[in-house]
Amino acid sequence: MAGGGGEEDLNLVPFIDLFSVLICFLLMTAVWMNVDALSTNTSLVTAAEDDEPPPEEKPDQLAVTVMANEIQMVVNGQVTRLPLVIDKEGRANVDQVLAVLAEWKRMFPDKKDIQLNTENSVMYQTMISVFDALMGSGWTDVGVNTQ
Amino acid sequence: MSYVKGSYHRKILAPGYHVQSKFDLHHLRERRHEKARKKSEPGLPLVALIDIFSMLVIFLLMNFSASGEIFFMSKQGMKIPEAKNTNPLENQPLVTITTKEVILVSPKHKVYMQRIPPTDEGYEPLRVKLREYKAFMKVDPAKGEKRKMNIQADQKTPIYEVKRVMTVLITEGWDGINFAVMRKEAKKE
Repeated sequence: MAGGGGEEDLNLVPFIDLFSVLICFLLMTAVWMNVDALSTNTSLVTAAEDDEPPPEEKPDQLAVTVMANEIQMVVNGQVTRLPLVIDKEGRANVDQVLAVLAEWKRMFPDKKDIQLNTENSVMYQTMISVFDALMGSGWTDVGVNTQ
Repeated sequence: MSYVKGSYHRKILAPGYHVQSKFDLHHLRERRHEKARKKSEPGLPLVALIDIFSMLVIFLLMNFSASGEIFFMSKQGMKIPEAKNTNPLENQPLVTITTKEVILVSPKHKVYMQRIPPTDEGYEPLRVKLREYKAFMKVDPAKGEKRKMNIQADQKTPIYEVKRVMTVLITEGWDGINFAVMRKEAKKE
């Protein structure tokens, strides 16, 4: 040190105090799970209590229906039936669904809305798996039918 | 120092302790001795400790999230479904559907809880509570704003129970429904 002659060490104890408090605070407030959301379009959703008759079917209306043991994919009245394979957690194997969705995307490149129907006995995770596949294929306007 | 005899021209000097006294860096020698003495003293290596603490603080700050504190699925033993193509979850009122109960949580209100009723008419108390919440939430549909609600349920919940709650929400005017999911990283291709 200039002019001092004696060596003075930096006092590290306050640093350690500060870091200890910071670490305790951050550990207590940490959110370890990454929770995100899948948003549904309620303009496409049909509430069960609506007494209004369903609107006339549009020519390019797309719908995916998750049944207990199959997935029905309907475009312009043409139905494609795919087997539903789920694991013990309820996650559906959506490889075939993705292939059909890719074909649909080629047919309707600008369309983003699609309707997702589910049978009542289907598990929540199964519905989310199909919903996720729709979002991943570019169908971002998913309406979940509550009937 | 002494001259060696037998030589007239050469002046050979016998080496001493130092070549010349002016190169004797006695201050340096003292400091070295002092350092050596200090080394022998046992001490906690605080610098390494601070390094570890700094790295921990940086890691925790990077993972810090101010949202998500209203999600308490761990207390319910709940496992929410997984998805890859997700959006960030907004801090909105939350409906939790467990195996027995429906729990409504809002940051500005008390927690409301009711047992899952056998019929849809049994959801009338939930409807009343939603109307109360609705009065506090100012939303302008003309600006494209939606009255939002997050739903979380166990991954094995029958979709029927989720659809019943969704029906209640939609008929009460909640038009932005988000399903809370665990983000699953997409595989890199």
